Amino acid sequence: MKSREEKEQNRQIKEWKKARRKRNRELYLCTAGFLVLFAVLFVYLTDYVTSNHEELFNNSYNSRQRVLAAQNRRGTIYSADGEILAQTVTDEQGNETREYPFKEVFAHVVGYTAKGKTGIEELENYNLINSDISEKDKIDNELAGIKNPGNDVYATLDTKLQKIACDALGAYQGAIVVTEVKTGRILAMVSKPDYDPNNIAAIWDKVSTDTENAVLINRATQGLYPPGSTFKIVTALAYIRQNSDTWQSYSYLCNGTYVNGENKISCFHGSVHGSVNFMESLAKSCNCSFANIGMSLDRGQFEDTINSLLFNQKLPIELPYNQTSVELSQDSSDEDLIQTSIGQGKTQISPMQLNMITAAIANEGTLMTPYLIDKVVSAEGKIIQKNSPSAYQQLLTKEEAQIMTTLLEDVVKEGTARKLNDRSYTAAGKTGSAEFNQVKEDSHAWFTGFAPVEDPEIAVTVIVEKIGSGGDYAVPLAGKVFDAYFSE
Amino acid sequence: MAYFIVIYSKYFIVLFLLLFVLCGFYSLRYERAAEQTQTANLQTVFLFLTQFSAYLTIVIRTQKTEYLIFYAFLQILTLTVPIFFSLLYKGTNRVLLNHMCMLLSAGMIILTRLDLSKAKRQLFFCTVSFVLALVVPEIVGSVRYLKNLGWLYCFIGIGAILAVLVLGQVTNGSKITFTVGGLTFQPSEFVKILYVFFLASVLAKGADLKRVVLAGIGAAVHVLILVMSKDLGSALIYFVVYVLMITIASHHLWYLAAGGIVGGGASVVAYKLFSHVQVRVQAWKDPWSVIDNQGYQITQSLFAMSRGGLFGLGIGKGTPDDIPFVETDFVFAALIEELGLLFGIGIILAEIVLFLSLMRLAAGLKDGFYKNICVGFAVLYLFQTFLTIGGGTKFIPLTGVTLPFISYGGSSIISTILMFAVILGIFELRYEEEIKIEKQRRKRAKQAD
Repeated sequence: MKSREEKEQNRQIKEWKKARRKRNRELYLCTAGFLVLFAVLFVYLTDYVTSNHEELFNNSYNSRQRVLAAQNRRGTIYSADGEILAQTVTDEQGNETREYPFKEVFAHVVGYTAKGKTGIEELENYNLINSDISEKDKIDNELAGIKNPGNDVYATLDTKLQKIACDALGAYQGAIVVTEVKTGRILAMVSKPDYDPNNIAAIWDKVSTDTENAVLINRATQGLYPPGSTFKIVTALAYIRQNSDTWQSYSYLCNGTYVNGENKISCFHGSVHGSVNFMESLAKSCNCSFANIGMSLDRGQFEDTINSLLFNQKLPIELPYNQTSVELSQDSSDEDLIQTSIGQGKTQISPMQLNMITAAIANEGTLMTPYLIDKVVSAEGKIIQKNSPSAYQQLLTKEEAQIMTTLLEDVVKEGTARKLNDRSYTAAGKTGSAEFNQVKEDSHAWFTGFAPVEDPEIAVTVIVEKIGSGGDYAVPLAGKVFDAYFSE
Repeated sequence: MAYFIVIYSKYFIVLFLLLFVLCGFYSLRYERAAEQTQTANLQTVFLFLTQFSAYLTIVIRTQKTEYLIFYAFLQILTLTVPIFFSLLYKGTNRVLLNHMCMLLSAGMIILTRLDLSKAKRQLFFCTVSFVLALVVPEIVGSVRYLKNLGWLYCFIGIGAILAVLVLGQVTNGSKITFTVGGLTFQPSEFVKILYVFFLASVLAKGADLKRVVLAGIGAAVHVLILVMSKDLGSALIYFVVYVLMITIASHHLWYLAAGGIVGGGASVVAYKLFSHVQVRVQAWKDPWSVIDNQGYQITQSLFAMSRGGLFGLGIGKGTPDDIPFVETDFVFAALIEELGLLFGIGIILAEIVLFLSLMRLAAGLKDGFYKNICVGFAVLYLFQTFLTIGGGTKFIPLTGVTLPFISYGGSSIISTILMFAVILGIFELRYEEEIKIEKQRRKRAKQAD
């Protein structure tokens, strides 16, 4: 009796609930809509706050840097071999100065902090100004009224190579980049003219307005130059890709001048190379032969090869850099094609990118992401961040890399980079003499190459501005760097 | 020891808030006030612990008794308010009151840290509001003709905002405040309540096309006056409240779609017509390009939040004062900077619990007027929250409305507390009805015997 009543009651409640659901359909939908809206807001908020932390931190409008600078002492920057590249020293009155013991040697790559921040000082600003010592020590420091030591940054830079490269360039303007091909570690990066970062505040007015010498520009990453004959690496690769079976039987008779309609070009300093095959064309850097090679290329596919070597693209470089550019397409004129093939015309390249292409060839076609920072360590020795090598992209196939290595080795053995012969190691590379104005005698001297050929370790790229041929002026500087590296 | 408290208290504050919110969500499963008692007691404990850890930090950092006294007052207020209400009204919803107190406390914590004198002012207004609020449920319960005053609400409301438009002074580019005897009012905060009453009353006996259009005319006048006062945030809120209220009252979802189209069209027109709308949209799309002027506030807000991260820098350790108008429009960013993103999310969740309990109450009500009021206030409250938080975090363009309960501002705090006092009155009504039904059932059971 009672259970029937209960059942009846349950049924009523169920029906009542059902009716309520139906009556409130719109209300529930609106509620659900609001919940979805807030769910999206949560996801957005969490993502925004956590992923933009460091970028927002480095914005000069953010007061956090000033607050932290008052609490923490900026950390030290070390080289890979443990030398101090930058440190903050506090005098008895509590005044802090940022010291750069190597003065101008690391000027551009380590940077400065006094007038804005550049180089590693900018790149690692967040880590340097933050302190990851234990909370307990922070409290002790606060009670004792002393600043917390900021985190220390260990760069991949090698003081010995950097000094050699800096001395090698001497008073000339230009840049040298040295990287480890299997890891992407940047071992040296020099740009000239340079300045002493210890005095940056004092010399600021002078250097910041000097547009002619552009002292503050890091030429290694920001300098854009015509590549000259070093671009023949790209042209050669395009030819090999387009004539994979026949490139070895290529031959050309160089009489010093190449004529195509109204376009006429000559070999460097009026040389006449006579009969050359493909290998000799590159080794002797024969402009006429490369003009001939260029004219035989399919322009669209040539453009593809150019882009496959990261021209006209963003590059995986941590420091500020300028994007390189090559203007070539299916519709380019013969003149543009010829000029591009020999590395003149509108093409512009930075030493860093040329070094990356060279490193990729040396590393069986794979470009390792170049990096400057090895690790970040707290003052108490705790590792905060550790960078490890990572492959960026396969720029060319293993076979192509092997062929290019053979060709570049011949440049050293028989061609324009002969000054690298007879050393304790074998080297491969390409010279360039980039004409930057109509006066034929003026040219930037280029060399880019790697060693040892059997098992490549480092890639060295050198540019010396307004000095003459790459073979005469850039190759010996690269030789000094290689010598220093292999004398260890 | 003291320093350890300063450092670790922020983790406890977040923990207590999240536990509090968890209780809030748990309480939603109960329909009746009596069933919530245990959860409500537990919430009171977490409310106390949250306040205690926060103010312990503040007092230790400042070493001033002034702050200690302020804390004592706040603590007494937030702990006694729920007690007073439940003594006076048997059917009162203590969880709702707890949430109000928690949100007020969060606002107080950050305001104390920013400016103690403002916090004192705010606490004064809170106390006054709660005293006023104590009689509101009684009025809602006994004055039955409240539901028949439809157009009166409308005319008073329009009169008030019109008066501000004509006589009011300009604050930050918008004509929204009004000063009488040294006290500055923001009438649109109070008109909101009248506005919801107006719509609820007109739509009480169903929402046929005629009523929807009539209510729409009243709503449109409100919205237009607000647009002319350049109070676009409020205009948008009034519009959304109207659309959702007619949708729910009429059971026609297509009103929502139509509202979306009209709203979208109006936004485009507003963008084309008004330069200050364009400026806001520009500052939202790319504040970095105008960081020196229109983008300054929002970028400072983003900096503050990024500085805070998940757990915040700790109370007093950040620099939220960098943000102009931090205590009104950007109080949420200040909360995140010093107490962390998790705390911020906890606060939003606490607000959502309030919204859900209002919607739940609405769903169970048979009387159209009270149901409409619940829906209207719920939407009003949560949408305003969304506009403030979304605007301050660059999720949507900035509209410059306050965060209910948390932002600094007397008008805002009084109107919000009164609004929820009305809701408590409706809870009380439902409770009385339940008692009546229960009595009748017993009577019938007796007769059957």
